[in-house]
Amino acid sequence: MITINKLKIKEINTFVTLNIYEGITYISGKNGSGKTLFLDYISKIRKAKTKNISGNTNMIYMRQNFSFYNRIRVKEFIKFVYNLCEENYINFYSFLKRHHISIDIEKIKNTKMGMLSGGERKLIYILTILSLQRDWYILDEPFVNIDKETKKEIINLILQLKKENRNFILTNHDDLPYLLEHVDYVINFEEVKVHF
Amino acid sequence: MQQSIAILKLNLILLLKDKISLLWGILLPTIMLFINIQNFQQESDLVYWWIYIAFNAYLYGVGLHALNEKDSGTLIFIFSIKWISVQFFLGCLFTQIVYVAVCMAIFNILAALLLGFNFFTLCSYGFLSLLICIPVAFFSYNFTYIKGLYSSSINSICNVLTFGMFISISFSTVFNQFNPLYQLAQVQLQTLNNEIPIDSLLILLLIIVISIPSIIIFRPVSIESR
Repeated sequence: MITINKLKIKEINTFVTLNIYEGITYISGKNGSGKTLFLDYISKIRKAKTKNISGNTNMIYMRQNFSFYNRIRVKEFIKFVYNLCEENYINFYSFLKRHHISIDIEKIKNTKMGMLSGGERKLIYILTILSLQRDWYILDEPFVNIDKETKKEIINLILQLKKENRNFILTNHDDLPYLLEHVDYVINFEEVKVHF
Repeated sequence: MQQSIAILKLNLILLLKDKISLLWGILLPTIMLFINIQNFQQESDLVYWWIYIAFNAYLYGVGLHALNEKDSGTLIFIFSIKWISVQFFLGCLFTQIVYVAVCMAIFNILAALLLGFNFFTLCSYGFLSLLICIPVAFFSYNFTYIKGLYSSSINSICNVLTFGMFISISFSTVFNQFNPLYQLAQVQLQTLNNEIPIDSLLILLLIIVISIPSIIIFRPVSIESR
C-alpha cells in the first residue's frame, strides 16, 4: 500500500491525503487538476520537502509527455531503457511473445523514434515500461494516441500483469468503459485535494 | 556503473549521428592551428589548443548538455525510468573524455604532420590537458543548480565568453588573470616544467568539491514545462 499523508503540491496550492491499495487504481479528474503533478510526487520525480509518502518503492513511471531523441532507433531505445534498469533487453522480446502482443517489432525495430507515428511511439513506450518487472506501475494517460483495438490489448495486458501481483495507478483523459469495468479503485482527484 | 555506461553508449550513438558537431570540434582548433602555424617551436606551444578542445567539450558536453536535456524533457523521461543523478553526470563525463580523446588524437595527427612534432609526445601532453580540464565538467554542472536559468540563455553567454577567452589568450592582457583557459594552460605548462602548481591544483580540487551537491541534488524537471 502507498500512503500519502498531507502531501503538499505547492504548484497547485494543495494538500493530498490518500491511501492507494494494491491492485488497479484509476485516478479521475479534470484537465489541470494536478493529477500529473501528484503522480510526479508519488514517483519521486518531484521531491516533497517532508516525508509524506511511504510504500512508493520498486515502481516505474510512465509520463504523459514522452520526449526522447528522434534519431534513436526503436531497438536502441529499448536497449537503453533495459541498460538503465540493468536488465537484459532480450526480456522485452520474450515479454511480447509471452503475452501474445500483436505488434510487429521486427518491422519497426530499425525505425528511428522520430519516424514512428504518435500511436506507435506511445505503444513502444508503454510496452517497454510494462515489460520491466516492478511492484508498481504509474501510467499517466497511457492510452492517448492509441487506437481502440490496441487500447483493449493494453488493458488486457495490464489485467494479465495484475494476476502476477503487479499494481497500477493510472489516469486517463476519457473514462474508458472497458477499463473502468476492471479497475479495483476509482479516486476522484478533486475529492482528495485540500486547498491551502 | 552500468547506468553510466548506458548514458555513455546513448551519447556516443547521438554523437555519431550528429557528424557536423563532431567535425566542428576538430575543425575549429585545426583552422586556428593553420592560422598560427609560424608560432609553434615546440610541442608544449600547443597547450592552449588542447585546453580549448577539452574545456569546450566539458563545458558544453556535461553541464550545458544536462541543462539542454532538462529543458527538452528528455531527462525527466530518463529519471522516471531510473533515478540516476550521479550516474548521469558520470555518463556525460565519460562521453566527453572519449570525445576529447578522439578529437585530440585527430588534431595531434594533423599537428604532427604539419609541424613535424612527435605524435606520442603530443598525445601525452594532450592527455594531461584532458585531465587538468576535468574540473570544468564539475563546475559547469552548477548551471543546472541555478533556479530560473534557461539553457538557451546560458548557451549564448558561454558562446560569447569562450570565444572571448580563446582570443584574449593571444594578447598579453590583465584579463588573462581571470581567463580560465589561460589559467588552465598555465597549470599544464608549469606541470610540464616539472613544477607542481599546488595552489592551482587545490583550487581545481575545491571546484570539484563545491560542485558535488549540484550532481547529487540534481533535479530533472524543467522550469519551462510541467
